[in-house]
Amino acid sequence: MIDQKYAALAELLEGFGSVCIGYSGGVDSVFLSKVALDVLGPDRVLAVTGLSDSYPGVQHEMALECVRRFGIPHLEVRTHELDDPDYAANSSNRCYFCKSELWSRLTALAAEKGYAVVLDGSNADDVGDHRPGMKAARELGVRSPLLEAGLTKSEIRKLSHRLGLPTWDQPAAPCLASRIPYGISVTPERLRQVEDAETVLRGYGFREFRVRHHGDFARLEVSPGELERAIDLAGSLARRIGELGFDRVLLDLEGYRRGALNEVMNLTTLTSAGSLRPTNGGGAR
Amino acid sequence: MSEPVSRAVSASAGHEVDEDARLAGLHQLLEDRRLGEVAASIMGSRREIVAFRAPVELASELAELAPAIKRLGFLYVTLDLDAGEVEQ
Repeated sequence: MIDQKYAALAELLEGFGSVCIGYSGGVDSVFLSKVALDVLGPDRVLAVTGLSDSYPGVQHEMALECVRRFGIPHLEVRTHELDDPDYAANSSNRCYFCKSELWSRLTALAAEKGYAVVLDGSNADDVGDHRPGMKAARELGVRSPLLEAGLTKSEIRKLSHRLGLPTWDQPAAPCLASRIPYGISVTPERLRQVEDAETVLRGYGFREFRVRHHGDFARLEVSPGELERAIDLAGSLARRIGELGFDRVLLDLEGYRRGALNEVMNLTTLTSAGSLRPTNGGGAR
Repeated sequence: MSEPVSRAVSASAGHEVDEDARLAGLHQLLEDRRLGEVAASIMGSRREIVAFRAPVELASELAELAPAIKRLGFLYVTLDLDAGEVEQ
């Protein structure tokens, strides 16, 4: 089954002729770029990375390492989503405004350089999630060949392993703005605090985690298997992360789970139904 | 410092009645586990976060309560790491 899907992907890429790929250095975009390179050759592939304050530095390093190691043709463009008040306001549609900026730039670049199709790395597991960014991609004609071939994240990891890609077991690393709950504005300073706090966790050897920025305080999510160690390190984590400008440092007792900040939309739903009413006591005890 | 949940209820004056119900539910859950003296803060822009101020030794026991606490309407159940260190 997985081989059939891989064949379907190769066929899709061949049919595109030439491609410009949104390239973050994550599992999906590295895999897609490598397969496109294998199928189409270096003259018909261009991987493009959008640089901004919300792009994690650690992800950028991985992106560049793969470019060097596999000879992926690559360009970087600066994106300016933080200048867009709709993005900075951080509504649940934030990703739409960010991706509109990114895909607008990539479609213009592809047209200018003569690439036939712009591609993203969405996969079959992304369909059910809240993904306003995918709407922006569709509006601008961006295609999702991994999704179209039916490849799931775990299949992409398996195939990445087969191809010798260092990203095969890399934890997901979405943009830093995804650590800020909807309704709390996205600023360069907050993004830096998140990145610095996650660097602290990485330095302690944690592998899968998020630092959620709630304005005055940070909420740490580490994978359930690493919770005990985080508790052992309570004092050190509180001090080092607190020094970054957080009044308090909280450890989520359920641990990291994908899309945890989207859980707030369930709260909104309950509110609309009259079961609960949110209040305005931000940060109050 | 935070207060035991029973007293934190009064600290929420001015907020919606539903929140008092949530806090009462939280207090009851803690009482049932003989953790009634554990202090908690309600935090977040939607007051969706329970932050326990308790010794780290109680973390596992408090984590076990997370599903029940979330059924009260809270979204996140957390341990305040500063407090855990100080109060050991």
